[in-house]
Parts: sequence; C-alpha cells; structure tokens
Amino acid sequence: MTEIFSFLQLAVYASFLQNLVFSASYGISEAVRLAKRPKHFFTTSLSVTAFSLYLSVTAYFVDKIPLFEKLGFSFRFLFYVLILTLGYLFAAVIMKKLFHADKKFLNSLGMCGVNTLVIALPIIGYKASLSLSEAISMGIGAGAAFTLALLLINGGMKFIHRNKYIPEFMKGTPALFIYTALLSLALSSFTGDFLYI
Amino acid sequence: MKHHSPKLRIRTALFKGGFIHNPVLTQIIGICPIVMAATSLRNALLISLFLTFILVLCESFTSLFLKDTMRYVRLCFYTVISALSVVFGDILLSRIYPDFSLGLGIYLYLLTANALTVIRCEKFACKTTVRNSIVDALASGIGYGIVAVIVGAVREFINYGTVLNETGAERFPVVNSPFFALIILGFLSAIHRYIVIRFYPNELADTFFMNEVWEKVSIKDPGLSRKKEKKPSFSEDSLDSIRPRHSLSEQEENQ
Repeated sequence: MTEIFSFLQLAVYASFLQNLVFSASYGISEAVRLAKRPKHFFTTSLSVTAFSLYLSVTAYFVDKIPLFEKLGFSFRFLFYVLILTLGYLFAAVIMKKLFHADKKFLNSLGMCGVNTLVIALPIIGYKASLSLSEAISMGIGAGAAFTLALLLINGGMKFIHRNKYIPEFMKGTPALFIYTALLSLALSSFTGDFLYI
Repeated sequence: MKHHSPKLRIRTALFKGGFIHNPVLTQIIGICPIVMAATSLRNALLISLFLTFILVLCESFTSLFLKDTMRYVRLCFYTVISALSVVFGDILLSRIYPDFSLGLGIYLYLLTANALTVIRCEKFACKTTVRNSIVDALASGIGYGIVAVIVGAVREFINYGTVLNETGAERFPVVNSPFFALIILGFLSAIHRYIVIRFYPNELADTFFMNEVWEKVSIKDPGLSRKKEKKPSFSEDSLDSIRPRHSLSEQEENQ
C-alpha cells in the first residue's frame, strides 16, 4: 500500500506540483513546437511517456551494474544516451517498416524521443537514488507533465492569436514567452515556495 | 550525390541566422539551458561556448558524412556526437578548473539534446557544404550566445549587484527561477521584434536563408506573417465628417 501511495505521489508531483516542463524547463522548446499540432496530441503524449518510461526504467537497471558504479558520471551519462538512441532507432524502424509511418510522424517521434525532458530523467533518478517503482512513476509523471504543458501552451496560443489588444511588438513569440512565464509561476506556486520578496 | 550550394557569406549568416531569425527570440529553440543554467554571466558564456562547439562539430560532420543517410539515423548521430563533445569538454575543463562543473549542474549534459543542434543540422547542414555549415553553426551559436549572455548578465546584476563576479549572498533568489528568465526573454523578444518591424521590414519576406524550418517550426506571428491589409485612406465616418454641407441640401431638394 505504501509503495502504491509513493508511486502515485511521485507521479502527481512530477506532473502537476513540480511540473518538469514548467518548473525546470525540461523539453519546453519541444512542447512549444509540438503544441501547434493539436491533432497529434495523443500520439505525442504517448510517445513522450513511452520514451520517458523506457529510459527511466532502463537507467535504473544500468545503475545497478557494479561496473558503472566504479565509472564516473560522465561515462554513465554516455551510456544513458546510447540506450536512448538505440531505443529511438528501434522505435523509428518499427514504426516505418511495420506501420508505414510517414515522414511527419517520424519527425515528431524524434522530438518526442530525444529531448531534454527524457534525457534528464535518468540523471534525476541517479541523483535522487530512486527505487524502481519511483523510477516508473517518474517516467509516467514526466509524460503527464509534457501532456499538460502541450494542452496549456496550445490553449494560450489560441488566446494570444485571437487577442486584438496585444500591442504589435508583443504579438506572437514575446506574448508566448510571457504566458509561459506566468504558467511557470503558477505551477511553481503549488510547491509552496515563496518569491523571496 | 553532389550537393551544390551557393557560398554563404559570414555577414549574411550572422545578420539573418543570428539576428533576424534568432533561434531563441523568434522560435523558442533550445531555451532550457538559458532558462535554468544562465543565472550568471560566466555560466551563460560557458553554455554558449559549449553549444557553439557542439553545433560546429555536428553540422560539419553532418555536411561531410550524413547527407544521404536516413533522417532518423542522422538524429542518433547528432545525439551521440553532442554527448561525446559535452563529456569530453566537461572532463577537460574539470581537470583545468575543478569548480567549473558545479555551476552548471546537469544542464551542461542536457546540451546533448538541444533542439537547436538537431534543427540546424536537419534544415541546413545536410543540404549544404562544410564551409557553409560551419558558418551557419557559428552564426546560430553567436545568436544563441548573445541572448544567453544578456539573460545571464541581467540575472547576475540583479542578484549580486555585479557582473562576472558572483560573490556574497543572493539578494533576490527569485531571479534564478524559470519565471524570471522567461520574462526577460519575453521582453528581449519584444525589443527584437520591434527593431525588425521598424528597421528591417523587408527581411521578413526573405526566403533565401529562411528555409522550411523558419516557416513551419517557428511560432506563427500573426502580425508578421499576415499580409498587410490595405487600409482605405478614409473610413465611412471620416467621409461623413468631410462631406460638403451643400450635398445635404441638394439631397433635400431632390427629395
């Protein structure tokens, strides 16, 4: 029961309370670019969650290998990258050969697979010495955080696009930066931090 | 398969790739290290140098060997090359300056998956010569670096009251939050947009350097991408106000 509670707690924490995209800006560029394609939200979210889960869990087992404990963090990181690229390559080949995925899908699969959010997870897991269940929940939580970011940014983009009262020089990218900043502030407020002012 | 590309001038690349289509301010590419790690000028400079080094390596390698490789295989090469260069640089610098790595934390390693590398390699380096790729990498790196340096300098100045000298207690730790960095980026982007609209309006329609990525990947700025609507010189109201008075009397007479 404690395990399940811990699992859920970390998943909720990673996705909402300490949303990895807004509080630490992991994968924020990819979220902004993919937020323009609302039709592909489901596949995008699924891909990011799958890659996060895959790398988080695989890295957990890699960390248990005694050889890697002796090596420094740099070599460990190289191994994470190698695992991720192999996983991505495997997924891309499967999607292309078996499901005849088109070029657009493969492009977005690249963005979902190789981004700062996914690569940060094994490093966080290593630094925080997460257990297997925690690593799984972290992977799922990261996927949920990315999905939440996609939805929030997409909604904001629509409002920014429609708003006629935004001054000319603040339209588009500047307004989106400010909107993302406000989202970041809003989500970080859930953690209970104060602004030191 | 031979690829013929016109020679990219350094000035053109710097002006268009680094300034007009700045990867951070116009397209929100690879902002994670700027937002989280550029908390001081020193950190910002280090991030910029590392990223430029990675960009040059990846773009030149792509231009030399990966032109005819499948896209998803190329992506793996970019990631591995970036990771190797980051690790090599980190080990080298940690030998020379033992305290160096502490300042950047994991964000140095996250440069491996920086979107700017992938986008520049995919949209430019794999279609052009090695020379052009290196010029483009330097221009993009400088464009990225200037933004990072401004953000780092502003944050350090507010937080410590100094530039390139982080000593003493932090006065406003909120400055290190992503919220503050995104606000700075928002205002920098607005200033950039104002300058482009005011002084270089024709550059927005230029499509030589602005290849597919700039149009499809970048956020569509409604004010910029939309064709200027021809406004009538007089609106109906203004016509009413200047209509000669005698016309009214003529109408009355006709009635």
